[in-house]
Amino acid sequence: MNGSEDGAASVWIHVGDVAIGDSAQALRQCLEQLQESRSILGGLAFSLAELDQAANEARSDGWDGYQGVALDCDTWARARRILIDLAPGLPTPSVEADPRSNVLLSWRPAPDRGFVVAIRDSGRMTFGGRRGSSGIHGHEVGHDQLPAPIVHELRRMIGSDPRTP
Amino acid sequence: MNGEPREERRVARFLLASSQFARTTGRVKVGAFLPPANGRLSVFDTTRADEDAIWSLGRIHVAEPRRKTLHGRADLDVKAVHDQGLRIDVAPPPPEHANVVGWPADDGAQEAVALQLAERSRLVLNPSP
Repeated sequence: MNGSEDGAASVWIHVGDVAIGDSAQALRQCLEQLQESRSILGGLAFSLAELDQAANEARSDGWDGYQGVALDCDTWARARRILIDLAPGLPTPSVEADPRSNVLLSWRPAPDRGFVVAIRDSGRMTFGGRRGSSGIHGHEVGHDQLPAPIVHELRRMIGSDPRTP
Repeated sequence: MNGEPREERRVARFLLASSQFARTTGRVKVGAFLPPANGRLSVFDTTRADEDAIWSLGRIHVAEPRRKTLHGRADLDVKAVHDQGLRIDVAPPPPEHANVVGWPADDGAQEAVALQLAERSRLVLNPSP
């Protein structure tokens, strides 16, 4: 091999290295995204299964053995749409029916941090949360998505950043 | 509830719906502690009862009359109830029956309280449902 061939070979190897490096990086990113998507989809699938289990159990009044009111189909459908369109980056919640004919979404990442949203048939959503000694509750109107103020309070209450108030 | 230092007492909420708790995490869900429309959350004083007696209470007075499966119970210290500004009114029969009352009127505030009660409760699964 002469100098020029060495140079050509060197360039080729260099280009090859870059190409392999880029491919590997792109592949790694794809795999990370796939893993994240699978995790999100897995969490969503679990939440949707919880919703269906709750709806199946809460088909008639007294479903909880006490005075629980049956969950209606519209509230179930709204909860399903809200779960599917949950804001990016939010962890998937635990899902259940409540005795007032609502669907409850709850996030409980730690004993001193939690947030719960009640999806009601009227389009009204009520919420309550706690972070340490501070608590919050209120209501918003929203149909197929969690309203931005609720998402804001949810992130504030369950966020892992200790500097978050 | 009288007879003992009230903070040392314990109550149980019997769970008749499998969607009110999560076996995988061993947690009672929030809805199990939300009051019905009448504002009276039914519980039983289990302070002096052993395990067999507690399950008998749930079976005889809650599950069987309603023809439901007794899946488990949520144990809760009375202190946790008082810490939320709620109180426990005895409501026999049977003598162990009581209601958690004094709930805030606001639905969201009730949810915040129920969240705290769920967090401080302990899930006990029925060994022979």
